[in-house]
Amino acid sequence: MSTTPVYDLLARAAGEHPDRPAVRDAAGRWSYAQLAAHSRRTAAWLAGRGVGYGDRVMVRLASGREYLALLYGTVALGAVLVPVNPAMKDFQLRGVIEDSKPSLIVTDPAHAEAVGGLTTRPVLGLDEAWNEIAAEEPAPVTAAAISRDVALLMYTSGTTSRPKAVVSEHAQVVAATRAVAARLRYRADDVVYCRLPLSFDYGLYQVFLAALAGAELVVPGEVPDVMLLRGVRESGATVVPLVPSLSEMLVRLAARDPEPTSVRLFTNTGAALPPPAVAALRAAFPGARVSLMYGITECKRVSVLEPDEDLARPGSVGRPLPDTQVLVVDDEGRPLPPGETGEFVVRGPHVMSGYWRAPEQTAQRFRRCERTGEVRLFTGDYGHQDAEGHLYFSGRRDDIFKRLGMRVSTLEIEAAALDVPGVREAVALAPDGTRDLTLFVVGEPEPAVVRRELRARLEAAKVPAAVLAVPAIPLTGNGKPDRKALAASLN
Amino acid sequence: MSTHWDDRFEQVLRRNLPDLPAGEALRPEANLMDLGLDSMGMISLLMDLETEYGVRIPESELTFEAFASVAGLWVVVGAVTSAA
Repeated sequence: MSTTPVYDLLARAAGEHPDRPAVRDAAGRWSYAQLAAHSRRTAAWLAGRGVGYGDRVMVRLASGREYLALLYGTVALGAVLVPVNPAMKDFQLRGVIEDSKPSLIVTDPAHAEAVGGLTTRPVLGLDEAWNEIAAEEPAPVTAAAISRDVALLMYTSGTTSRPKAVVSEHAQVVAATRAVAARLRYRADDVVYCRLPLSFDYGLYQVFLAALAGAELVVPGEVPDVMLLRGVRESGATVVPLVPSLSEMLVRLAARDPEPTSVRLFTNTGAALPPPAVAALRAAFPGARVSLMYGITECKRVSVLEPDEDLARPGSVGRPLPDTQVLVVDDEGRPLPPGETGEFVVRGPHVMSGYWRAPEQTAQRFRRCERTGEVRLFTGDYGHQDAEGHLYFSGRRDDIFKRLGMRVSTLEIEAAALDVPGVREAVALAPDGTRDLTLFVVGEPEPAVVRRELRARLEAAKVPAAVLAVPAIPLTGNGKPDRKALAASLN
Repeated sequence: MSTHWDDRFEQVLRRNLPDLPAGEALRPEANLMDLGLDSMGMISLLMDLETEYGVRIPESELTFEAFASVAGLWVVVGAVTSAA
């Protein structure tokens, strides 16, 4: 019997209800017993390729049943899964490969050659990998990864120009899953429709939440979002995790196609869903309740607002998860009373281990309490807490922002722009409510060309809405780009 | 199916393709995403086309191929509007 806690989520589900459906994609469905068998085949295959304890396995795939087998097969060995967004461009992927040093990379077949050109490490298309995996016998899971071993590296944008990875141990993943499950209460008869990519933490955690509840997960893979509502309806989905852009798409699609669905619960993460958007979602899907949440990858999730509780507590993102605590502190780290705005500091078993091979950045966010030695997560997010403990989010301190549900840093956009031949200077302005993401450039290329080039280097959410050519970037007194002057020049 | 779409189709597309310069011809094989169409843009484009022609494009026609190229989309729209 294995003692790898994340794999045990699956092992328990497969033991208790082997024949219940576990996962469905466009090609078919696996029961929990079948998923466990495929995961053990995958573990045997990985072991045969020399992957062992602590090694990284990078998966760059659209969601599908095989993705789950790769996930569980990797953690069953005590190895570490590194999920990356299939939309990540070579420009960033190269850096992520160098940073994580995977023993093996599995990608979609169409990109296997291109990814192979970025690295000397082994790269396999899923078709090739799966042919080999299917020929394996399901191996017994004998690895004994303990709670403190690493299960996942979750790449996310940070204050550096390159994405960095949040290190997630088995115990942290399981603790976060159990705590979220306690609030959202997925049921064994739920069908969870996960349009979110599995490289996005809330997408990936749908796998664990479904396993814990014995529910079925639907992973539609790469289908155009014009088919989103159709997919939700035809799959019989009862739970649909969303980010604001998906919510808006569902509302718009429902306007042209108001036939009922089976959805009982929507959850939102990624960025705040404003009250009018929540109201529109409720109006379009009268049978469904809405649960608003707030979190960051560094602890997976901070708070969950009970379904439809937003009606009673407008603006709240909910209470901290069970057995976790959020302190609101001032600039000196002193706790503030309810109602006063400060930085959110998170305590609990879900606080992750830090950033992969980035001790300085880890020390900034994951700070050890001088008195107790406990590591607390300084989120960089600001807001307040009411007397009953409900959190109200007001914004981020630094230059990270959320756009289309994705975490974006102005620095990575600027770095990509400077990679375009002929661009000499680049300054990105984060969206501020009235202005969308805007990039100022100095150099030869036309703004339309810069935008086109950026699309080749960055995911869609990171491509500026507007690119403006200027003869020079104005500077402040101490020689930094004068962002206020640039913003003012737009008016 | 002809790749010679009508003016209404061309106008709706131009309105929904942020990266197609006004002076540049709309080519049948052009990839709509390369011309700046994102997921939300696809839904807007779908709804604009349905409004323009007063039709409802069946769910079964909402495929990757339909939204991959200008010609692919016209195949769908042309079929629905000629049947209407």
